[in-house]
Amino acid sequence: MALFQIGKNSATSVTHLSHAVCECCDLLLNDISIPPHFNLTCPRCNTVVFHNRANSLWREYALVLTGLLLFWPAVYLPILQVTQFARLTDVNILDGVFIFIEQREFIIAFIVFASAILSPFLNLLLLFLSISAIYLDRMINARQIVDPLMEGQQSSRRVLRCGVAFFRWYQAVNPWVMLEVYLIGFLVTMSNVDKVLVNPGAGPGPGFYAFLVVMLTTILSSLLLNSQFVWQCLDKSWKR
Amino acid sequence: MEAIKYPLVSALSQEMIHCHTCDEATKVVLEKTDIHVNDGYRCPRCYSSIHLRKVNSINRTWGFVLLGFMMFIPSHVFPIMVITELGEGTYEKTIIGGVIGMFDNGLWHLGLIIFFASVMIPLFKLLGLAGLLLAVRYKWLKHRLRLTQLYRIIVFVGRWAMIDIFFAAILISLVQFGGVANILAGYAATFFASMCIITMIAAEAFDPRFLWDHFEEEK
Repeated sequence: MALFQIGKNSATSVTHLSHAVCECCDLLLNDISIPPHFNLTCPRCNTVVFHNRANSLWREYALVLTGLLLFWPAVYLPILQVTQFARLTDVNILDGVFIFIEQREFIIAFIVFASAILSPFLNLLLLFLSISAIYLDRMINARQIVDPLMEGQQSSRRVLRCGVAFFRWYQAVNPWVMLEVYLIGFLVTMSNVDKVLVNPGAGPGPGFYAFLVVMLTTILSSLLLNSQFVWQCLDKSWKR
Repeated sequence: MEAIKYPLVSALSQEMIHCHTCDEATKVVLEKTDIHVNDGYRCPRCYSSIHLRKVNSINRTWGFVLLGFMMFIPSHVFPIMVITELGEGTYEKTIIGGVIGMFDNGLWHLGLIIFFASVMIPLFKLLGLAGLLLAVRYKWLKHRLRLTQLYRIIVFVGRWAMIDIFFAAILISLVQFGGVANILAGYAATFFASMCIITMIAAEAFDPRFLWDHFEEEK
């Protein structure tokens, strides 16, 4: 597939920066070159200023697609199953939101919904869209797809502008993804129910495995992402 | 590897603004020297608004920290769950009461997790942020590196306070559908969830660059 040959997919080369600023202590660093797999650490406050991760956009794409495919099962299939008096009870993540709406506790319902369902979904979707924008821009420039308006540079710039907006939203949503916290809360509930209820058989349901994969994809995609590289791809002045 | 001697210049002194969204440093001509003012500069790369220091950072952080303290008290005084069980009547449980109940049932490890997540972490965050704000205000900046590390720990630890809310969400829906007992979320649940979010916003609002601002003059 010719798509694989367009442009640079990963930051495996030495990155040269004319300047970098530490976001934690405002230190200005000039003329830096960072080899692949190395981090630039601020000499004054030890914050990591630049990760030169050997990031591959295709790997990121695969992770995000996996997460998006398994998102609905993770939310909708039962995450916890309890057998009590020969009766099976199961709950999924959405129930934890609906039960609070039923009890008219709208603030908690919103907080649980936003941190366990909405922000992971937006996180995956926005990353998918911004990487798609990068690839679409490259395909337009290589004239691999038919440009609907035949405008060349113009439509490429439009695509990149959308990509910038998506990636900005991605970075805004990222700190509010709390799936790993949800996992610990879930494990605490499961062991608690196991002990407290009479004659119980509490165990993870099928949704739990989908949930685990979604959690891993959100964590891995943000850990492996070289956001500087994505910004360079989205930046018009860096490209040509 | 030989140690490289960096000239320790801040971006502020070189009239550069660092964009928090895309990490691009932009050269600007500063007309005013007041670093607390939003001058309306935009990042050329990602078009988000950039400023020398986060706008109103200290005031906003103080506000959120005080609000967090005010919510911390009711979240531990009021019951987080109101439980109605067959044959045992209705009783209320605070967060601490739940932890003690777990210890009584022999689940001391779960009790420790809940205790750390819902008592120690919020207290640590609120007291730590208040300490950082006082350090900036009264220039107790002898150990800048330690204070920066404290700030980084506060940001990292923030989300883990939410364990108790998720625990309550799953437990309440499970019991409700099971039909053995009936659990209602108490007042404290709203206070506690709001306090988690507010302390996270407070940590975001604080600008660690204030800790390093007069570094060069003192050297």
